[in-house]
Amino acid sequence: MQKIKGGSALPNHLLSFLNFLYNLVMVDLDKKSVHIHPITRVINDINKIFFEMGFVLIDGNELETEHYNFDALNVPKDHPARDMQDTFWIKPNKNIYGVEGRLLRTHTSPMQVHFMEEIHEKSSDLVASKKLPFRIICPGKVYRKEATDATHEIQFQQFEGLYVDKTVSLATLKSVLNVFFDKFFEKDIDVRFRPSYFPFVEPGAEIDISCFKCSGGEADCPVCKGTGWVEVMGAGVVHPKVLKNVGINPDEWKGFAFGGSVERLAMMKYGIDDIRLFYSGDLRLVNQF
Amino acid sequence: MKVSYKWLNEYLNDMAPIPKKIEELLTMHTMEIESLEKVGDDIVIDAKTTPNLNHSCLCHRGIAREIGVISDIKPNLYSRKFNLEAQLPSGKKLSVKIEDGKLCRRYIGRVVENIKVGPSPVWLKEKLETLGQRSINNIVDATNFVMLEIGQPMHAFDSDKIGSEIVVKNAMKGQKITTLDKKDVELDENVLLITDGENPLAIAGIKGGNYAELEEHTKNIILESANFNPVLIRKTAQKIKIQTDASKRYENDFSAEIAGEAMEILTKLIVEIAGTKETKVGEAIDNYPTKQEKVRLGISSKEASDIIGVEIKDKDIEDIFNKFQFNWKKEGDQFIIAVPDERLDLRIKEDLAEEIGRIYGYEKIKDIPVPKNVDKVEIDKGFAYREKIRRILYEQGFSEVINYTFTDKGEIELANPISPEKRFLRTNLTDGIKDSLELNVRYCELVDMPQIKIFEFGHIFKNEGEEGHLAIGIKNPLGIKKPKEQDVINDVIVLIEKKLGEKLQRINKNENIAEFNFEKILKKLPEITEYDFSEIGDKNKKYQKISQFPFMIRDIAVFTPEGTKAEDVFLVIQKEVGELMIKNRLFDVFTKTLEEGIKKTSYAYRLIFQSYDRTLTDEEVNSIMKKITEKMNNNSGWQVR
Repeated sequence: MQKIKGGSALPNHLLSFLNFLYNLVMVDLDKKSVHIHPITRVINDINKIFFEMGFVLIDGNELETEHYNFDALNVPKDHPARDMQDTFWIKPNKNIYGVEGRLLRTHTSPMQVHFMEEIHEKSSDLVASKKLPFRIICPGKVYRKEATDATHEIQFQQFEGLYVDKTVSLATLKSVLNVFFDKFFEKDIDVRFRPSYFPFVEPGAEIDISCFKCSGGEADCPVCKGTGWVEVMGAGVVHPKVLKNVGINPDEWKGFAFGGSVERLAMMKYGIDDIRLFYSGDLRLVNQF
Repeated sequence: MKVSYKWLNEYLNDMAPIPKKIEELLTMHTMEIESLEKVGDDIVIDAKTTPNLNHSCLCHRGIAREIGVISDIKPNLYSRKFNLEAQLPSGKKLSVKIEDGKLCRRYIGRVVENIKVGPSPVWLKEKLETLGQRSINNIVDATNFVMLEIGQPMHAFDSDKIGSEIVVKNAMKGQKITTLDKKDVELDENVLLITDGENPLAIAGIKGGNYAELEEHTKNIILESANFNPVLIRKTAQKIKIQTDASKRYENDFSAEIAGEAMEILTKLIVEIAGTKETKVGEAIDNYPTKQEKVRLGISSKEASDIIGVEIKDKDIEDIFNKFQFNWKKEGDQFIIAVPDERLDLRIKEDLAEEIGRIYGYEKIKDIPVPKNVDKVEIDKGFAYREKIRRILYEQGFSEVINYTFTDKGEIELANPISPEKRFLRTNLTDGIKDSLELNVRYCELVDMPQIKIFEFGHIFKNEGEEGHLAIGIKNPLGIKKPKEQDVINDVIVLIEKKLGEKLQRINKNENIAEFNFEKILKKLPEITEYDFSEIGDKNKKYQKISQFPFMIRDIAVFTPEGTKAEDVFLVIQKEVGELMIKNRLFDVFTKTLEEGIKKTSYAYRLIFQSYDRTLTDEEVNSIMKKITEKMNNNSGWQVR
């Protein structure tokens, strides 16, 4: 029986013996087993499932302007809807962020606006150039100024979906979400809508999924608390103002959008009980997966 | 918004569904319910009203109306009858002046003379206390009642302390007001005040001042029912850092039309509960410079069906609009409604579609698949290459970390950081990687890594802009020199370069951490035609809770007779070790021929001990090891080394 202790104040011959011993003991550990961060795995799953449904992945910046994060999304300045997302603002200075109204994006929705603006810049006839209809999925880091606890973080990842076509409704939204959650949890998941409000959609809905753990059968289920349903995202039919703001005619085109937290899905799928673990750089979490 | 079940039920003639049912109905058709809480013999329903509902639902009437629509019960106009006692007219003059009709859209003032300030009747006290409000006196309680009843904040001043004039005007820079709760607030010219022409009586829409405060002996009062610009109230409340029940309602905006009825019911209530034989009621002086516009809005059943995605028939819309008690008529295929004054949330067709959809029932929506996308789905180059590099690194035993963007030094600073040490955005990934290496090197055994090998993809923020970076780091435990960190890093960079066919330019000089501007590298890389979605790793793993207590390592090596299997050795360990062993591994096996020609096999196991609820002691773990050693030595031909 032997104990191994580390230490740097050892004479050289002892050090090399220690190294020899360490490698003897540890060499078989280096089996290079593959560990994948649960957040990366969930984002990859999201991309794969939506890719199969024809959604194009879009990537973007985390530093945004008030315009893209709020105004263009029908969240005017000095409107109480701004309180729904506590925002980190950038201190103006002499750099390129010198202008007022820079912020860390509070959601991935600015990506929608950038995307729709860009397709306009590239082409005047959006249909002929196949820019419309379109479907995109945008995962990425977002920031909220909130008190942190086991379920709240000041940085987290969202994924946002947007589909614009001539006939788009809550029913097509529901079908897309049903496919996604069935594939994501690899079982038959029900999706339900509850009325809610997000300024960039109308009608707006909160999305619940049937409890993947107990399917609603257990009163003391830690996931759904016996209700049988778990809230997972917000969604709705894109507000005509948002389309109009980027030059898409809302009388002709409609869209649906949805957005949810990647962490929430990861926590549910893998049974992780504290959101802060994802960002602690702690391999005791990562290397479990 | 907290509402009383009993109060709601008064609107609904005692026909309200039971609280649990109300929770379910509101949840599925109007809004989320945070909680139901029993208070006395009542139930307090905490409704999570969203900004669209806040125009009309920050009061019992609004929520009672919602319940009425969903459960098809016609609610009363008020929760109670307001007695109209014979009122003597007051001859006292009052004028109301508004300097800016955009900021104060409406102000109704009224003098009431010869009232008696005293305690409220029990029913009123109970109503307020159930909702967590303190009963103050009959006058103040009456104003709060009206606000909770129909959503109009009300105010009462002692009229003997002011003249015959109410002037609504902006404060002067440097002017001060002492609020009812004795706080001195400094004002500027953007703050709107209620004044008597000279003295500030209240910060409009936010908080009363103490100048004309009601007192026990107050006999004559001026009542206020007003409507202010929501943006003004919101900005002022934020600026002076005073948020009240009134300011919350004003900043969410509500109809100026209800000010009149609010004044009527408040007057009647005050006469009823604070009146005397000599009580005189003055005329309501109504100054209404910015009239609310009447809105007409229409939708056809086809338009509703297109948005919701189920077939909505004309009959459905008729039924639903009747439940809402909308004043509607049909013009062509359009159902046109005169939008009720309070419903500031109904402004476009889609708003009506939502009303129809949520009452019709979202649960009736059936899936309609989206058409197949026949075009090739474009590939995001960055995403594809990040995944490609990840897979190279996974194979070399690297794990991914995701660190915080916030740090204590940098170039881009937050205006409102959560704490001083998180006031900058990171300018590199290296610092975060360094911290992660430090953290994890203590856990080599727990995370199955002889050396800690990690990487991160993430954004960094500099004066010139935001960049996507990649950083790779490695760290040996203290005293361990081989393999050299630098060599491992260099090898893995060479490997990535080989697989990508592109040279990687390092942007830092650390020996054990390499950082790259990934976006720059990406520009040089060729287009990629597909994502690698092939499965790697074990996707079925579940999280095991991480203990916050230290772990202990013990090694045990035992000589066993030839032919003994590793499992036989482990069986002994398993039988004796108990629950504290969280990890184990066989790290050395060799066979040796002894002098007598007998062959013995040595098995060496490393055991890791850790508890979820305490720090383990040496003695505790030693005694476990002692038991294992004894059991092993008891086997014939076994000898613990």
